[in-house]
Amino acid sequence: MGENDEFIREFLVEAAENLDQLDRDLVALEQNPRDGDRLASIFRTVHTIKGTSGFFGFSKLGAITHGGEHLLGQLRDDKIDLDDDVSGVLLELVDAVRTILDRIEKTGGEGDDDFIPLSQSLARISEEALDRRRGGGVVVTRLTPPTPAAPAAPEPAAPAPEPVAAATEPVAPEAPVEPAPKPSVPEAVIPQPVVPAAVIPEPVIPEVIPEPVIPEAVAAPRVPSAPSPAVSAGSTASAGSTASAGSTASAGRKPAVAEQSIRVDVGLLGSLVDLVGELVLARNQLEATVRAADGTRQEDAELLKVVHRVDTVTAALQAAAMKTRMQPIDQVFSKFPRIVRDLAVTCGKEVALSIDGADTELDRSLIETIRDPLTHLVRNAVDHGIEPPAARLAKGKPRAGRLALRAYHESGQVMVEIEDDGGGIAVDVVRAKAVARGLVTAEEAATLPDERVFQFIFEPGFSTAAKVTDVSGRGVGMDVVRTNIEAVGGSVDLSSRPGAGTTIRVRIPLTLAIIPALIVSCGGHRFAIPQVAVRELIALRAGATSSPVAVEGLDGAPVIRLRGRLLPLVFLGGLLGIGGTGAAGDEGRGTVVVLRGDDHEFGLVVDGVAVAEDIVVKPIVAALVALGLYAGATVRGDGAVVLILDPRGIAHAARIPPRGAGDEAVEAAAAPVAAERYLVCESPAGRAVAVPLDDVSRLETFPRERLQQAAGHTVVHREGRLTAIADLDAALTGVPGPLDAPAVTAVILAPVHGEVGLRVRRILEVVLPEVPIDRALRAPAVLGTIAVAGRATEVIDVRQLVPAGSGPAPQVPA
Amino acid sequence: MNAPPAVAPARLFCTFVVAGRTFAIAAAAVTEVFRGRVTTTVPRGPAAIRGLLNLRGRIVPAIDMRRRLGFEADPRDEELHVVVVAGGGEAYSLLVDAIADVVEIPLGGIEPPTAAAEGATAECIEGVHAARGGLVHVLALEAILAGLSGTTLERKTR
Repeated sequence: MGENDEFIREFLVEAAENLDQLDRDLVALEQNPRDGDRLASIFRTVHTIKGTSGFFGFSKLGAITHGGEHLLGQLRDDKIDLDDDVSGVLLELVDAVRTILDRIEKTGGEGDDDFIPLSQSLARISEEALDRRRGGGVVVTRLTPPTPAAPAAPEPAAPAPEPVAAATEPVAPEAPVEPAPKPSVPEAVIPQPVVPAAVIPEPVIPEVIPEPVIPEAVAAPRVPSAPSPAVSAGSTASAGSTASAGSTASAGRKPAVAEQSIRVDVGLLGSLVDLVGELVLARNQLEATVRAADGTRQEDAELLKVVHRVDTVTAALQAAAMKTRMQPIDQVFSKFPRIVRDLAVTCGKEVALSIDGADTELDRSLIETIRDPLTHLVRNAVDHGIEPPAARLAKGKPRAGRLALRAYHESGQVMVEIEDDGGGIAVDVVRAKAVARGLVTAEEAATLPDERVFQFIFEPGFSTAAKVTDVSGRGVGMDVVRTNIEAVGGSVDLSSRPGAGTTIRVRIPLTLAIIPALIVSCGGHRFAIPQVAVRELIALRAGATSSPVAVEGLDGAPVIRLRGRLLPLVFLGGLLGIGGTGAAGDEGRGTVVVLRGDDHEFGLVVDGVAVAEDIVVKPIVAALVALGLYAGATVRGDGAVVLILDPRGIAHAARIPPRGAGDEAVEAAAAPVAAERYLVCESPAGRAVAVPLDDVSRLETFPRERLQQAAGHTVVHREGRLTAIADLDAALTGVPGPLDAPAVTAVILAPVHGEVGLRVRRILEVVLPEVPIDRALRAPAVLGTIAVAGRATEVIDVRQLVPAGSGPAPQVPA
Repeated sequence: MNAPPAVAPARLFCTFVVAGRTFAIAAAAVTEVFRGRVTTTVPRGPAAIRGLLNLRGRIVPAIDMRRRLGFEADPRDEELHVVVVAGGGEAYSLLVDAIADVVEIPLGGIEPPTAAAEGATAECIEGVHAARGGLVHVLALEAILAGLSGTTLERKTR
């Protein structure tokens, strides 16, 4: 089939996608058998596969899809009801199609598997269903009763008796439904074991490129000869009318979607992203070169403008290129309805699956990595977590177990939660088991917090041996789940209550994304810290008695007292062995970056904070991820590579005890009511001022030359936007502050009317004053005062400083 | 070469010099060769990883082949010869003293390592080839990479 290879490949790719959709649609149709729209879509998909298989001469595929199409046609025409037998055999059909396609992909042929039994069951079930509809049917026992609208009893809405011929020769009345208007070739290749009545030439769509949508097929006029009264009565029968209405509607909708997206080779996207990265670096060099020119010539100014424009376009291009790497997690989630349905049937359980956040995006490369671990966890929840209906009823729970899948972005990571309301796991059983296996001593086990105890479940072979399996059933393969998730820098946690259910939280990093980060320096190295983990920055002034914080020793472990609470400290230089603050002989000056995740909080001591900027997260090799300290790396504007610290990993490496639930209470009690944090900075003239942290969007640093004058305002041009830069000193004293440093630091305020930044000399710290703001001391542009390190500090009234409408329009032509 | 053409199966190798000895690596694994400087080190990383290189936006660890092969490390901080290789789905770069040549080595021409190779070198080579100019040590990329994580990968304490 040499010259067809390309087309076959295309057919396979498309069919694989269609099969996933079929799985979803069939399971959804079970829930709502009246969904004519969905039924039409299923019919179309099967029909397309059938037609294309005929074109390529795949006779087995043609035979089974023909049988399936026939059954679906009866469903669509409301001749039969969708019951477990029908949906079961249709799902079986999907699996068989998948098997054959897989074989074709690997060997080029359909393989030796025998699908005649399937064709026979398709035919048999079709007849049985017709029998049932006529009232002479067998009593059906439903395994899964979630379909309220699928009675096994005859449907009164279809009183018109089917002609007997339709039952005995099911295909004959069906055939005219086939789309005939297309140019067709007689179907010679597809043997039809089911239907000897197929004397009518089977139309095959002879298009070379299989199309997922064949509007003609759907909109084909319904059977002028109409041997099926159910269809002609369609205008009154609800099922018939929804089916036809639905199919035309979707036929009109689908092509629009197809026009909006095209298939692009993944490797091409990858190289696009790499090239954009190169462009960014070239842009930076260009900028540096132009700046190095003395600036006296007119051409230099012109050149600078062009560079600005290149800068703007590059940034936009970079953002767009990055987006191409992101995919919705739905690519994994979409398989679960089918998996859960099949497993529930096998285990004799009832499970109501809910999925939230399927549109949460993460890097494409991660989608594949998490597929197996998540599938394992979902299977575990159905197989072992959720109890059989009888057991649930005995416990006073609803018959059907609840399984909830949730995905969302948090702290720069993707969180996936798998929650069931099943039997749960008793923490003490796990604790005892861990002791019995010698993983911890009895004394240690007694003091370990529950969440740490549950981590033992992820130990290799932990619960495979004895009782825990019976209680919980979890354990087999859980170590593999953790290993796989950790291999990409993620983590997995479990919490459970016996009788109430189990929740598993999987954290997955965004390996390739743009995140705001803090660039810190330590021992001559630079590192990036994801901004989301940073709670506040505190200047560390060892020995200064007026300092709000002082390092204390607690059993040799350094801590600081922060608002009445002890916060463990980690000296980054010490941890990494690179010197810096806290090293022997060091004066102890530095900055404490308070980092907080959902199970840890600590202060990371670094030499200084350089700048806050958006960084592009780049993956690092697994051997470096395995160190547990770095989440990735990034390339800075000058081309230098900077490692991104993994706050969670650092907490583990430094053996920071997990944050207990009690800490929140202590914090709440210690913190004043309605406490507000302030960013304290120094104005260009050297005045210490505070800005309510809620009003701050981010910090930025840029070369002084970037400041421009526009419409009487000082502005900086960045990523296609103009940001007005206000002079703090001018606002406070009427005298403009000096502009002498080569780099300008600006506190960018949360947008009110366009973006506005405050030019400052430097950022000092973030404080949470124990005494609320004193509003007695008001002045122009001053909201009041707070005490910082014992000194009254003015709080800037951002809204006065930025009068409404003063900001420039957000979009400007460059 | 008197062997009849197209009969003797041979593989292409890139050869380079590390600490005065000649090493070879399968040319199929080599994606590029250039001169570069490592600026970013990886604190607490494997000893043989000298740092990270920015390869057109891709972050690639740089393996100091002197250290990996058990020789005295070269303390010089200057532009080094970099051989970029692909292994295990990831890209690595090998820092070497000098790039030599691309040579063809017949399949039968690789003999088991001699006793002369010892320690880390023996661990990283699949055999030696006696070329006219001297002994060529044929490197096994998997062994080089496996040793990296093997020596430093410690199970995280949870």
